[in-house]
Amino acid sequence: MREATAVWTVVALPILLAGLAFAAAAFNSVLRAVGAGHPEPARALTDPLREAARSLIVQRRGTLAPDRLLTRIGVISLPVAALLAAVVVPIGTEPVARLRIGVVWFNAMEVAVWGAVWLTGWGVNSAYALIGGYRFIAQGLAYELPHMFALITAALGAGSLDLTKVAAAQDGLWFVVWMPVAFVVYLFSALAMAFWGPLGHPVAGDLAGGAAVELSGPDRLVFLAGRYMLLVVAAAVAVPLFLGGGAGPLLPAWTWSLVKTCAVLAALVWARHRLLVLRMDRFMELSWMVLIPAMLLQALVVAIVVLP
Amino acid sequence: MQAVAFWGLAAVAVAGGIAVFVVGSMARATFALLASFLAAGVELLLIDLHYLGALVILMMIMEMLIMVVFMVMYMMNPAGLMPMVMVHNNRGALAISAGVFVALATGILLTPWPQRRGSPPRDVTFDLGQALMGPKMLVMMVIGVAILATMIASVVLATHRGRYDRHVRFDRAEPEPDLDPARGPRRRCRVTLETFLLLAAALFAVGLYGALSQQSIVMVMMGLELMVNGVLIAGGGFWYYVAPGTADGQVLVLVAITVMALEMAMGFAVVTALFRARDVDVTDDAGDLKG
Repeated sequence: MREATAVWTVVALPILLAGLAFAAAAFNSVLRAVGAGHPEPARALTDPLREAARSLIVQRRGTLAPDRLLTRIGVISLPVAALLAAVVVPIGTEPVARLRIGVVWFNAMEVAVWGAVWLTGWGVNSAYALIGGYRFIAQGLAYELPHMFALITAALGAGSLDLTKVAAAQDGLWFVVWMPVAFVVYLFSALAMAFWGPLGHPVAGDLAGGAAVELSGPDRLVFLAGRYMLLVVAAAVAVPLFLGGGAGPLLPAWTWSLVKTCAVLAALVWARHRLLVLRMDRFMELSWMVLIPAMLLQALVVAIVVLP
Repeated sequence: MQAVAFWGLAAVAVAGGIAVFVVGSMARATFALLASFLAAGVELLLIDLHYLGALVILMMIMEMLIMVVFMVMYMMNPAGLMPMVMVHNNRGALAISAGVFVALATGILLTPWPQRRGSPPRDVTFDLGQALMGPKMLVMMVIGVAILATMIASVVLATHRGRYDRHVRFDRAEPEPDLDPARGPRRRCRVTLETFLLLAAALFAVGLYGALSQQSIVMVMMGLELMVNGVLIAGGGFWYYVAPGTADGQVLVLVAITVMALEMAMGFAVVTALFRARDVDVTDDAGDLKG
């Protein structure tokens, strides 16, 4: 099932994930400060820390007759799913746990977000939160099919479901070069699975915060941190899938993995401040009418190329 | 270690299945069912079926999320805030499902199961792919056509002018788990074919109880899903303990997963058609559909 991996990586992975999630949150704060015309946007770097500290000491708000068990399960599932997805992502050349079916494992863990967001929206017994939860299911149905095709196209190009082998198969020519459609679709679904930016409709402002509206205190902190971690994992998986994994001149492989992950992550965070929120029914139309046919063509091209 | 994991997951799977019919909240019932499926998926991971295990986890999360939408839509009292009991013939259902479990368990323990032939190939997933694209191509094509037909049929049924009153029947029988003599136990860590089959029988019996006793159509479907969950476990167990050298068992599990998805899609289409036409969401009000 798995090759021998150093024990320290098991400890290091959550720390690395949390660090990158914080970096994404800090970058987001800076961009927001720039957008608001703040004179010294760099001071917003520590906003996420302040926000986290405040979340830990603030008193919880309650609603009438909530289902606490389901809410807690939903909230905690977000970071747990992100962490479980991250174990198969190679940093440099080796992931923490090397699975032959790493791509499917990542997909399964990412689908857990459907449950997490719906449970969070349902459990608190609030109309806006519930609508946010339903929006995520609708959005999930929209993004999941093109997303699966994008994953499977990269796996098809490499002839393996193992993320390490997919990265190794791009020796010389990155998949992003000859699978540009799959890469763009993947970036869309990365935004969708972390309900971020243009695909953040489930937690959008028109619902006063949607699925997360009634969360407060530590619950809110865990939920938002989990969302950033998902964004990080989605960005990190793009690297072995399309950007050549740890390949690159001079620097060691793990450095290149991190550099590329940070670049994708920064692009995703930046997209939030550049693009409008897309209503999920419109995204559904775009997804099924445009992205799925485009992905099928892309998969066909790749299949023809890799045919022996 | 493996034995501890097996029994722990088996307990979660059965407890989750029982919880489906005990808890009042439909959201909790759906996620209890999901817990049962996830435990079954991890059981498959334990016996080297990595791809199928991950597939069960992936599919079941999506299916249960679709299911919960229908649960909330069609159930009175979806949050369980007003206690109510919606069962019929509870004792009879309990007796029948207990009887079925005892019969299955007796059969499992008394049957002289065959010896294990062959060992798992190095890359189990590759083996499955080769089988599906080669000797088992027919299965793959039938699954594909069935999925397409279900998609069209469920859309036709669920749209406003459905045709429920001419074609729909509710007494679709679920396949019995394949208990034909095949497979051989390998006494490693005390997890054996028998234990796998006992777990399958337990899940099947709990599902049978639900399918027999529940009045709500959606709850009946949850019972059916639990029964297929038992088939999944049985298929995986047979593959690992009887004939791991061939991909037949894997194909069986794949078919069971597909059946579950198709059952759900068609089931909800039928419920929707019935609800639209007659405002009916419990089986007792649709008794005239008996064939």
